[in-house]
Amino acid sequence: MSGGLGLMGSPAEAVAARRTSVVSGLLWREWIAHQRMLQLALSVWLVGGWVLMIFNHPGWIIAYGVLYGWAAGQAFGGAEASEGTEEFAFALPPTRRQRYLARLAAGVASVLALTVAPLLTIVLNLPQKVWGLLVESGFTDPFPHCESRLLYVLAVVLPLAFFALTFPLAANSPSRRALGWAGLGGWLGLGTTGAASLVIKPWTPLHGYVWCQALAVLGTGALAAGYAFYLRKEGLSRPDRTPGEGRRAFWLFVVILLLVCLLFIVWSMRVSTRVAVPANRHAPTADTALPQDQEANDAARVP
Amino acid sequence: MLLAYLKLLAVLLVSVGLIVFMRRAGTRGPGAGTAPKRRIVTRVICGVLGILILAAAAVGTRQEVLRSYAEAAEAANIPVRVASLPRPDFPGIPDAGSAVPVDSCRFLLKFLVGDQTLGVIRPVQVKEFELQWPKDRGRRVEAGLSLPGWTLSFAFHLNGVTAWRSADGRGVEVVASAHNDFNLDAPHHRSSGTIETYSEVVRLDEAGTHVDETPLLSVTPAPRAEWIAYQLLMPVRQDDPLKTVSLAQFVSSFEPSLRKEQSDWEQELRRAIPIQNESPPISAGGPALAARLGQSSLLLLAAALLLAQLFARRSLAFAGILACIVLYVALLDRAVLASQLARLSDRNSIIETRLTACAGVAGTFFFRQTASAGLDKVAHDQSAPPTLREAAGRMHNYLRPPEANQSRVPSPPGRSPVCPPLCDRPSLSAFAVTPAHHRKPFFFARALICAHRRKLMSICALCGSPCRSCRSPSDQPVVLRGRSSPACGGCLGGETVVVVPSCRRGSAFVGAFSRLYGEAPSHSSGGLNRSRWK
Repeated sequence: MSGGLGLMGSPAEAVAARRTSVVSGLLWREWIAHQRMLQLALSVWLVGGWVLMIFNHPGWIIAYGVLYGWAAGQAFGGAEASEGTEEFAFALPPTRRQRYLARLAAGVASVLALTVAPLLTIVLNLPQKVWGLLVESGFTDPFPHCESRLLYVLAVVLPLAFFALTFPLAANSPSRRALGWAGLGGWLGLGTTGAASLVIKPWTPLHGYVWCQALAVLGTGALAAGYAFYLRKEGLSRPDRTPGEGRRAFWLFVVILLLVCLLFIVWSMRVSTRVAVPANRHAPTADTALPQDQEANDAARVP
Repeated sequence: MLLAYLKLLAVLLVSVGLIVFMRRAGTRGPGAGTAPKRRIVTRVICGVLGILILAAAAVGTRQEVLRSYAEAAEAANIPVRVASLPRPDFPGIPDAGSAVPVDSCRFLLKFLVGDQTLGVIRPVQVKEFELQWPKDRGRRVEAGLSLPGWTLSFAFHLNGVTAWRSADGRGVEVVASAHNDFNLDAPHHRSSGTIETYSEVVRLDEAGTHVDETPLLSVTPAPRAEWIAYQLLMPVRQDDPLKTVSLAQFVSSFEPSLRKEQSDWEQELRRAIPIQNESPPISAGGPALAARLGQSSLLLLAAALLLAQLFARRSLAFAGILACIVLYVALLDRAVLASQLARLSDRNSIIETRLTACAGVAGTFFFRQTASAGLDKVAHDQSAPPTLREAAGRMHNYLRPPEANQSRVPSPPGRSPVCPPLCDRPSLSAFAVTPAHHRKPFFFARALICAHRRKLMSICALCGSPCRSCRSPSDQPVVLRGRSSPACGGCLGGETVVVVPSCRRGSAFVGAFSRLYGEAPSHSSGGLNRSRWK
């Protein structure tokens, strides 16, 4: 490093070069630390999108991206906390600001890459074109095109929102135990989003775009708040687990499971209420008509 | 061929380039290290097992192809007895159109199961018996025929025999009054019934399309089958020594009689819909390949997992190996197709082998265009037997992409469309989205398609005229009513209607309907005033 600084013309250039090298070093560190997770995500996309072509609809990318966004937020945000080395990391030359932003950039870039690239392959039918170089049918016919642009937007926004929610929680967690809480917070966010979507219906265009904007604002706010807290965070290196933690986590898991079941019951009740229309509100259709009604309908149809 | 190799080479080069790039990116730089590999023993075991599975898939595929040819040849060569002398004569019949009871007669009774996938009947199994009248009066002939997933059992006995001189006074027909209780048990079709036999050839039943599961360790599916069962009761002279012929010869000589048993409904339906209720899988990708391979897909997936253990980055290796395995399956598919096409075009092969190849060619997944071109070539080869040409043409239509079929809506040669112009009015918008190979000017086919799309609800009269094959005044039309739904609005101008006569052919239509779509329409018989539909 010192040799490099010696070659620079002015102190300002030297500072800029050092900053660049710090940021590039931090990014390289993120790659080294998370390459297995990135390879796994890449493999899932390659298998699902290119080899077997299961990911042929943006809905698949939403599911895949949300899961990856959650996992990436945990991994990129709470790497040092999970390793128990944060206290020592803060003693190194890179500032907290540089650390937070570099990890955020790496995480956002990976989420974007793993959502936009699959969407592009779907839009352009790229797997079919590549398979078409080798075979004539079976893998070559394009899948039905999804007309809803909203789904494509949601396939990018939702994973980013999940990343933006879990990343600051994980970054500000002082230990692995708190990291687990951050992960649960992400899942709670997922559940809350799912429950809210039953009311908001984000698949309708107007609600959907408003929903996207709300998620963007929420995610940006969470990241900004996380950044503010991270600058003041006390770097601690705590043991991985404390006595009684496993039992608490178990009961927390049970409570979340019960909440999910409750939400599902409420949702199914809503659906069943919507379907059950009083029979006397409509003329009997042929599906529901009694035989005599059916005959009367038929007689009325005859010119 | 060279172009295909170049394409393959290009894809391989790009893949290798990507792998090298990612390997360098992952292993160079400060702090980067190589990922730990599995122990050498584990890698050897996994590699051997994976390669064994792939090798077994190749061997199993070859065995499956050879087995289909062996079974077809074996069925075709089953010896059956036929009359060597002319039919028995009964000189005591006084006038044309009159009948007398027969004192004694000898019969050959056969129960035959054939495969009609190709439009021609290919024999599969047969049971034959010899009966003497009146010695065997009341004797119950009980037997059964079984095929994979399909069982036909029957109990037959003769009640009486009559000789009848035809109205033109030329021929004498022996009419047997017999009773047959049969029982058919198939995966999606079960029927039983009683047939009072008055003619030589009686079609018992058919069980729709049957497709065996792909055998384990084979990437070629078993050929599809549409089995049909016949009962043949043929009078022979008492002094006839009988001769033995192969089953294939017997069926080919009898095929006109067998085909005559198909109702006009079904014959026209077969023309309208090349393969009943099914078209080749289109735009299906990996799930369709997995469905086609059946249990073999799990084995191939296991092979990919095993071979991925040889590499340090196992997740990425799994993706690459899985792609290579799909290519391997495509390669096997191409090899099988080449073998089938060679047998199909081989003029020295027997017709059964060529027909089996014709059925096998349609089973390709990755190379339908090549298969279709090969079938088209045989269909237009004047030196090929007519049966083979017809079968090849049928399978060619089956493999044609829907876009190609949209431009052809021909009426069969020498036939006028069944529907009057009423049916072809522009409001028939439903057919813009109907699979194109179903798009034929036969109203019953349209009705079936609509039913298939669950848009046809009340099946009633389109044309106002009953089936033209049933012009007898005694035929009363029957209105078939299926499920009703408001969705019917887009279908055939709002009122989708088919008139089916209440004769045997109409019943056959109803049977075909229920076989094709799994539900029988409910009947509402009654006098339908023809004029009110006009």
